[in-house]
Amino acid sequence: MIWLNALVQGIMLGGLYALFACGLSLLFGVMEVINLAHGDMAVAAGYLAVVLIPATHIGALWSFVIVVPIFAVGGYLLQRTLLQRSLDVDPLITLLVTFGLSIVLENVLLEVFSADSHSFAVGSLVTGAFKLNAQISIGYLPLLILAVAVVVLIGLQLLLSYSKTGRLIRAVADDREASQITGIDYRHIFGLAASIALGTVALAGLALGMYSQFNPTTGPSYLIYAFEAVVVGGLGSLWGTLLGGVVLGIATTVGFQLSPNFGALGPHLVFLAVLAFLPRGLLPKKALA
Amino acid sequence: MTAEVLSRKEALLKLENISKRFGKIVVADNLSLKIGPGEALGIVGPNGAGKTTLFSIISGDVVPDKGRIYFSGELINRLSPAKRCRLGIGRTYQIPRPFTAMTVFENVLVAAYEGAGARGQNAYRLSTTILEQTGLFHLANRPGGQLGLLQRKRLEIARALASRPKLLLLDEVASGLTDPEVASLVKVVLGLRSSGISIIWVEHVMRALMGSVERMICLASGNIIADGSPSDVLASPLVREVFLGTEPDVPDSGEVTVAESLAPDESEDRTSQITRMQHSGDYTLQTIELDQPEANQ
Repeated sequence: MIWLNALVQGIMLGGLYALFACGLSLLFGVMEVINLAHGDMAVAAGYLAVVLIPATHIGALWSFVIVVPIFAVGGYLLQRTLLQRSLDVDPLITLLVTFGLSIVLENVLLEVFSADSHSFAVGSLVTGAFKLNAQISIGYLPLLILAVAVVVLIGLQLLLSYSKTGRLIRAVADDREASQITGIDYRHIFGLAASIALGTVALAGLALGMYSQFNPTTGPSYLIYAFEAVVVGGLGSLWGTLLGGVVLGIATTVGFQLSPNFGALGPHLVFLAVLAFLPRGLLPKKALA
Repeated sequence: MTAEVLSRKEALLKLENISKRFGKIVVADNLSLKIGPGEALGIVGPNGAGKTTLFSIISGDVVPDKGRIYFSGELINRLSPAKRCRLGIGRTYQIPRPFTAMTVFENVLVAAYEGAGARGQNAYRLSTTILEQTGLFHLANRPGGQLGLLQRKRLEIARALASRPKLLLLDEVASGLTDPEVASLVKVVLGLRSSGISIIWVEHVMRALMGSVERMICLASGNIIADGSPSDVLASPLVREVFLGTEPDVPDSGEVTVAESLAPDESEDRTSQITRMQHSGDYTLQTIELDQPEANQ
């Protein structure tokens, strides 16, 4: 029963990982940009909420209504200026640029907010839980985060499959040059994809702030999990990203059950095993589809 | 109607003194060309003559070193491929490049959305019409990556058509196909001609070209060495020389002018106009059928 509990908690935690990973997965799947500032952007979203919540008297839970649009617009602008310029020079430059962005963000946050940890007060949501039985109880907050992750990933999948914007994004992801001769302005489409990705990054940052504490240096550690979730699931596959997040979540909680030291190590071991035996991930896919 | 009498405004496409070289390889050498509305022009020439590059220069994928490109009277040198597509220049790739993970219908639909600017139901209707026109309707839900060669070539045409082009650039759509497949493709192209679209068609398969275009040019080393009716162009000694690989009686080193304005009055008699040709190295032998130059004319 202890193990079943570890499994259930792992799936919950996987929701947070998957939410973190889907922006990374989308950016990589569409324009093959690996955003090394991904984790720091999520933390920045958390700090934006730290500022906005007292200023607007909005509840922490509803802060996404403001933070997500700001990040979506920011994502479009970031793509059209910094990222597109570096993509035009050499796709590898984007690694350096996002790495630099990560350092800048981290230090600006340190300067402005100090190294103190923050967290959002979401009242009984954090502590509340319902009991399945004596051993297994499910927290409301982890369940909510998992639900948000599933809704975001299904929504993204539907958007990509059936909407006009989604089809244009897939065409550009499929063959950037050929998309041009169908009249698609791929730079604009890249901007839209980055906008969606940063919107999900903001959600992940807010979820992180409710789930646990964060400080300016938290970002990179979550970037690792997001990165591993994308690779474990299979590059460019959104369903794979959800699965990858859940697998890593389970590896974490089962690892903790084995030994407290193993909790942090578990997901990394799973990641290495997948790389060694299933290098294309659990749900390999050629392009976004 | 000859292209010469067309002023810049009347010509649908006008290339003025286009030059382009990749390193030492000259792919366009001060090249000028006009296409009228509704005209169908065939381009032949040995491999490496600059045919595909010429298409890329027109569609905007390649920026020329020198020269001007006008489309419908508008200077389009600085426009992106996407903007040129929206203006009405559709192109196909020699090696088809369908969006592999998208269905045939979606491949055409994105061009209808962005190239033709169609919205909602109109985009769906336009795509459906074009799939029927190009004989792909029964494959509408098949992923682009799962098509055979003939179907891929058809999809290239369909995708270009969905952007509602005024000018269609066909890049060797008949190569690699069987005779009946070529025949069915020619039927598609003839159908397009009747709708008034201008066509420039690069092709090695002469039987496809002969019945489909009324004008032909021959490119060699970035120069137009012949311009006229298909039968005249293919009968021209210079063209035969280039295609059949017979050595011109000049040394093989560097750029040498082998023929200078064989026709005395260029503007009068375009059909026999053979300007000049710069020879630099070997020409690859092409498998073309020169034995029936008058076919289908």
